[in-house]
Order: sequence, then structure tokens, then C-alpha cells
Amino acid sequence: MSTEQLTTEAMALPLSERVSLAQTLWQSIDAGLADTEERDAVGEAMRRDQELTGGSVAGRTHEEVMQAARRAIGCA
Amino acid sequence: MRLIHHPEAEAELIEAARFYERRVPTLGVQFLDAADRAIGVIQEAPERWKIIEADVRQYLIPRFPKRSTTASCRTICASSRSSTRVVTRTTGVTVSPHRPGTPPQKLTSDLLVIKLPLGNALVFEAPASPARRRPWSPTAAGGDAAELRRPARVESRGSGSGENGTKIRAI
Repeated sequence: MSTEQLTTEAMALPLSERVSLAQTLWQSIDAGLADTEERDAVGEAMRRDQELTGGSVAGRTHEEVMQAARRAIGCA
Repeated sequence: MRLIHHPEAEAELIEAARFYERRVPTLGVQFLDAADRAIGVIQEAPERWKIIEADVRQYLIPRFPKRSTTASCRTICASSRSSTRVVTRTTGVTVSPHRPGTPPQKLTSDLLVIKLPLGNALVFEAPASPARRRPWSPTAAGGDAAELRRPARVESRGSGSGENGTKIRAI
């Protein structure tokens, strides 16, 4: 079955099944990327915020970071 | 507002973009577009989104089906699933690693379709004033837009900040 046929079939599914299918597909793409517990992530964010507040680390601007990120994937 | 990224947050953002780009060409670009857009959305109205813990809120990145192309990039889609978690505080925005496979939230079907399966959680902190502190609800998010879209108070941090003195951080 072609991708187009699959898409057509998928789009004919009820909403809840499309949601489930989409999530399954995305999880397959994300496989291998480190997971983080929500509470741990928030705690980590707070720690970093304190570092910036205390001046122990210096951050870069959003523009600089996005530019660097795009360069990193060859899209600058 | 000027957004400042913590070095570790920057590294994670780039790592995630590389990961997605390796998985599917253009997906890394889509991810960066989504992260960029999501941060902008949160900055516009931090108080609009669902409270998940105390003053910590969650924003689910939508995936926009509308396609757009740019000359210099291989971007073919306006956004994608995010792998970034954003935490905004009254004085800042923080970004930390994403959490794939986030379980569905109990949202209305409209929000579910747009945000749930294709967007990851952006978690941020945006304290509401006592009079406005109340649980987030899909109905409120959609129906009480006039109030909920009002920008949250953000503490001025003086020199070294953005145009209006507001300091935003990505950590």
C-alpha cells in the first residue's frame, strides 16, 4: 500500500483513532531520545535559573542560540 | 523581551534538533521552528495555559499542517513535535529536555487533535494574580480569550535585559 493510500485510509478513521495513530507514529520517531520525568525536568530548570541569577554561568540570546542550532543541522 | 538560554539548555536544544534531523531530514528544522514559535506564544500570554503544579504551567506545541518553504532552509512545514520543555517564571523562561511519549492530557477534542499527539509539553511558570488564579480549563482557554490573552506580569530586571528591561531565560 502506498503512503498516499495509507494516508487516505488513516484520515477516514474516527478522531480518537487518528489521535492514537498519530501518537504512535511520533513515539516511533522519538525512540532513542532520552526521557525525563516532568518533576525532574522542572527541578533541573530551576537549578539552571538559579545559576543564571547567581551569575555562575552566562547565557546566550535566543537569536544566537537559534542561529547556532540551525547551523548545527546545516540549515543556517 | 530578550530571551537568554542557559548553556545546557542550548546544548539540549541543538542535540534534539540534530536527533530529529538524523531521524528525518527537515524534521530538525521543523522542530526548531516549533520551539521558536512556541516560546513566542508563551511570551505573549504566559497565564493562558494549563497549570500543572503551583505556578508551573504546561503548553503543548501544536503541529501546523500548513506548509511553508524558505529559500535557505529545507523547512517544509511550519512546526513539528517539540522536544523542548519551557519553564517561564515571572522573571524568566526556561528550557530543559523534552519528555517523549507524554501521556494524553484531558483536553477538549479540538485541542487534543491539534496539540496532543504531535506536540510535546512545554512547561512554564506564570503566577497569576490571586483574583485570576484558577485552574486552567479548555473552555476558559478558548472562551475567555480577552482575559486569558492579556500578557502576564513579568518582573523588570533593569539593565542587561531586553527592550523593556524584561529578562527572559531559557534554562
